[in-house]
Amino acid sequence: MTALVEARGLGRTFGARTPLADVSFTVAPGEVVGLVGPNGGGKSTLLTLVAGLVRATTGSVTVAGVPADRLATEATGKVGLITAEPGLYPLLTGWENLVFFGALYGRDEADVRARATPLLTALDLGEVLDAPVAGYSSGMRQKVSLTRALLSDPALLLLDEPTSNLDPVSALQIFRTVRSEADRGVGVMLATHDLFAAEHVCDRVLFVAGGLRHVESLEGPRGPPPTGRLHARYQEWLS
Amino acid sequence: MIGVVGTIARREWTEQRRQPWMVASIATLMALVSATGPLTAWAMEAAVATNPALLQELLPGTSPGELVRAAHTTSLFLGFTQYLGIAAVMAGHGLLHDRQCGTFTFLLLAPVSRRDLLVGKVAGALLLPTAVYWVTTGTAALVTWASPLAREVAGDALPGAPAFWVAWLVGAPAWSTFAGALCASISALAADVRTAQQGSWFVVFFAALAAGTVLVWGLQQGVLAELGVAAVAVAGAAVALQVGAELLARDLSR
Repeated sequence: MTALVEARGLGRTFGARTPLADVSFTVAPGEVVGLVGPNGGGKSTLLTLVAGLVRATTGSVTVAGVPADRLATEATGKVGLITAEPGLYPLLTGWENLVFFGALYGRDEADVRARATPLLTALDLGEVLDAPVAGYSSGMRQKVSLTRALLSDPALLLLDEPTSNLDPVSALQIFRTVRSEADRGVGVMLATHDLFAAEHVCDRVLFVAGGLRHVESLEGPRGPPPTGRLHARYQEWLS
Repeated sequence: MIGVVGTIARREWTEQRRQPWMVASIATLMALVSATGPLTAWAMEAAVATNPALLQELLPGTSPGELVRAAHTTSLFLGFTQYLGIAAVMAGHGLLHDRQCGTFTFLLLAPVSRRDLLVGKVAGALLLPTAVYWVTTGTAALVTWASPLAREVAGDALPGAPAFWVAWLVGAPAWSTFAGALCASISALAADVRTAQQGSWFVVFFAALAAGTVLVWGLQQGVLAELGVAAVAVAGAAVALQVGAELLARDLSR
């Protein structure tokens, strides 16, 4: 299968610091590749290099054959990104945020609503989007952020610790949506400290610490992380 | 290009409208500095008509006309400089706000050229201050113009003079755009909030003094001089936006 992401000898230096050196890997369409490693190990740097937000000091990376630093101009909307910080305007409503970012990708409001509504329904977040984001919980903000990332039907989804501040139910909804997008053929790179989730959601996991240290392939059916009795009791209590 | 720039500017405007205390603060400041001219003009009109002897006693050696002219040009100078300062601070905070909200990364990821991003931010930052500036200084100028004494002593700096219209409609907004573009570029490149704020203040201080001085000077020189003053600012704004966009695109990791 043709690689969606292809990185060769990728590295980045910031002054005297080199958080990432000589990383080579591929991501296939529909594959979820996890990135695990210690804080400061270079996971976020790797994602920003793939997104084209940071230029590589060494090596190269392409997404669907397009060099990462030309993604925004030559492969509009190919990459969707979620960071640990949701990145929304607090004085705007959830809808206004989605419509604004949709407009930057050339989508009108009707188009944004048509694309976002099923995603928001799946994430259990349909009714509150007319209120300003300032009043949203972390989970609600992250769900809006995930919806924004999917607005342009990206071929690649980059997730940087998307569930780090979320309650277990919201985290599960995010993982479920991510896995379902991967099953539709979207390639996913997921940086996370949640090894349990990574073990179930990811097809492969890259161990990153200043460089690529190990690649672990995971067997068996893929899906959101399984939940136990406590999770069921928690959901019951919430409802 | 207009579509993306307009989208970014409109979003800025939407957020600003939802910050009533900020809007009230801008409007109050502009109203206060603009009021000096018409209040002085009409106070002198009344004093001359009712008790000229008392006026001479209170202001020996100063004619009411000199006072009205000084008050009007000072009011214009303050209106131009405050407008520029407010607009440049807003523009300087534009991309800083995106850094604080975490939206900067998503703007850079979107298919928007760095130039359109800067132009949209500066345009959005200018909308509210420009509207307030036109209403407050425009009203003040019309009220002052209605005073026969003011028309006699400061006619070259009132709505009857073409140079006034050039300075008011084009010159001051062009200088504000210039300073706003510089501040937006600084805030895009600065690594932290304090550096961005102090960098913006450095620009605002000198740009406000320069703009206020040359715009008021241009009123005395006539419409051609005022057009030249505006042209310098338009060229400066274009260069500042282009350089800012180049710097912003050089390394996105900033």
